[in-house]
Amino acid sequence: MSGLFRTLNIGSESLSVTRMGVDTAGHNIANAQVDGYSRQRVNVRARAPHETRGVLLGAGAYAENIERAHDQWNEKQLNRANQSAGASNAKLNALRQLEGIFSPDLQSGVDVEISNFFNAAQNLSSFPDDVTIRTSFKEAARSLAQAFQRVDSGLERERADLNQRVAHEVTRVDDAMQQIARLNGQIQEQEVVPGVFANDLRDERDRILREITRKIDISYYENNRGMICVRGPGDSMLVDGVMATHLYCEPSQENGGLFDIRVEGSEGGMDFTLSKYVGNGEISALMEVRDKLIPELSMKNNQLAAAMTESINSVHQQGFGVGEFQHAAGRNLFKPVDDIRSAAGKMSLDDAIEASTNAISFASTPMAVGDNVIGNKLIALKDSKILGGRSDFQQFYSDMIGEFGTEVLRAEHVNDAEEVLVKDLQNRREAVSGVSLDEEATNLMRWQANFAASSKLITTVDEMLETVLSIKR
Amino acid sequence: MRVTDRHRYEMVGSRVEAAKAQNAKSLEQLSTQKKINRVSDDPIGVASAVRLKDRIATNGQFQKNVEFSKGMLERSETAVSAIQENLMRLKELAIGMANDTYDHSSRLAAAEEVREVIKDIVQQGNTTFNNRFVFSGFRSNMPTLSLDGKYMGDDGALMLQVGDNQFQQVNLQARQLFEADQDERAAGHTDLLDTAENLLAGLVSNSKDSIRFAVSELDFQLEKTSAFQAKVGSVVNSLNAASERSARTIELDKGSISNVFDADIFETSSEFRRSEAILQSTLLASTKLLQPSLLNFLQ
Repeated sequence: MSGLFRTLNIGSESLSVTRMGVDTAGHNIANAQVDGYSRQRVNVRARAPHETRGVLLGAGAYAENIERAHDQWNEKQLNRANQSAGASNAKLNALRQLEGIFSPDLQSGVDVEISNFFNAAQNLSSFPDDVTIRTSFKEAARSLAQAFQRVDSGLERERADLNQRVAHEVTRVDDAMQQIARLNGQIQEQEVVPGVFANDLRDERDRILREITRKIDISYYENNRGMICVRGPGDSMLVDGVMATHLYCEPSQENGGLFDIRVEGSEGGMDFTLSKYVGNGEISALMEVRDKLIPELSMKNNQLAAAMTESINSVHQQGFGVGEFQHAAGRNLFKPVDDIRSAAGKMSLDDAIEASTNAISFASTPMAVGDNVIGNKLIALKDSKILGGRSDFQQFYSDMIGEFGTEVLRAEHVNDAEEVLVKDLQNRREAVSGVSLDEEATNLMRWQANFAASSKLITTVDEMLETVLSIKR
Repeated sequence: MRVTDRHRYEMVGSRVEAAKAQNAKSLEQLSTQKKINRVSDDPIGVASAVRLKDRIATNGQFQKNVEFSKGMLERSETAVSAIQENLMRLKELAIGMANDTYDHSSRLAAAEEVREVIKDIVQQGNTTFNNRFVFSGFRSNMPTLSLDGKYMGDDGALMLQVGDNQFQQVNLQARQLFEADQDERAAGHTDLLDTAENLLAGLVSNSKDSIRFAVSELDFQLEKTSAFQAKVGSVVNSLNAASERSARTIELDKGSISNVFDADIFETSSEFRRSEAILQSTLLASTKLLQPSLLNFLQ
């Protein structure tokens, strides 16, 4: 038998649902600017009706649960796009750092120093016996060597920087993996009661995933207990339920002490190296620039330095100097290249040249100070297609920076495209999950009206009770 | 589509950012006056500019080489003219002294003048430019002629680059001027200074035959000297032509570099105005867009 108290109960439950609605709207407003927050909704359901005297009478409403607005499919797409965008962005930034080394504004770039060197040779060819001009030729040769060294050390420095960044990012990924495992545990605890969603913890976990997918190539799935399992590159298991393995960096023997990424083996298994499998994301892009693009650039720089050193030396050796060197030929101008990999880094003047400008050998015959035949041969090297029988020195250098510039430009375009895609997916995510203050304001008004009406129900029942009680008097 | 507040703020953010980026780029171009400030701005342009810059520097050097050569050649030319004049004076003397009207004493007096002339020829032969003996070939630190008129230089041809793959000889091998080669010797000719010495000997010994012989020999030397001088002239001409070519190349290349690098000032400043206007209207629209919310109207 349903009495007035039942009606009173409907009112009080309605009040509590209403308050839940107001709280949720407040929660949404409070989190409107929080990154990764998904708006929440109270799912209000009608209670199962009671049969009273052959009539099914409604029993009011109750709050079933609070759910977040979330599109899992969009989230997956966003994470996938994030990986490519992370890679293209990291690559672009790494290349931008390198651009300074080859800036067209440099007054002492390799191209400028090559011009200066050969012009100094021309001057010396005009005045082979002039001490001042011999000195300026020596300085031009030294500047040329230094220009090569600068490019070499600049590239090395960027490489070391990138290496540090790889280590830094790996630490962040490792931290994130531990956090995901911890959140997995907390979410499972909170969702023990069926139908309850740990909305805010899930938001946090999704946010961390979005951050991580920018950095490293991972795939993930949610198991039947609401925990997320993360697989890294090469099918390594990074997070399994509440367990997370550790990622760390270790200097590699083969790669000159640069870092490899290693994964801790699970349950007593061997740790293994990940580097080769890292396919996408910031870390892989950093490693690509570190292990491929920079070494290619320094190799070209070395090739050019070696070609110049060797061809100039082979001509210079035929020449006779002046003063104490006027009787003997066979001297180098630059120290000979013993390993092409250090040709640019170690390029420097030969000791004899360093000690005396008289050792500079432009004469084809002994004891002829005015002889510039060898000097002219040296000058002719400038236009010789020495590198690969195809390019002279300047061409090789300009091809090199042209190619590099194109690489940067391409990275820029790829990055623009990827960022547009990510932005679009983020907008779609916002459209589904984001908080609209206007909407929340409407909700507040709605719940407020509801609250007033529910209160009215209670006062009505109260008055009715009074009427009932007054019958007895 | 649901438009959420975060979305609105982010949109405003990214639009303002885009407008600012564009504005900053045109400001950079405007303040540096350059279209290209880093390699990736125009990789092909930068690569070709490397080659152009090099060509300009090299052609500038070619011009310097030409200037130096011309200096040296002018000095040589003056010296050769002086030698020619000396030879002519000798010939004059020789023709006069070959006459029967002169006696031994006047020939001895003429011999004095011949000695002076010989000294001057040696001096002209040892002409220097920048402390280098211009007629000595590669032995430029040694006098060309010994005191008794022997040629001391070598046959070094001083080549200088005056154009792409173009080396020009800028000295003249003076051995052919001062020395008689084998064919000439076979025809009875002597070295330039020997001719003068023979004349001197003829005057001193009062031998009319020797003096007459010296006249014809001087003709031969004069011919050689004129030919030599003509050669100097032709070298100077070709140097001038090379220098003009370099100047034109430099001018053209500078134009090309400017096309690649320099920002068009009108285009850039109007671009800057435009981007500035875009930025301002974006900012204005943004403030208008962000303010209204239902919450403002709820009391």
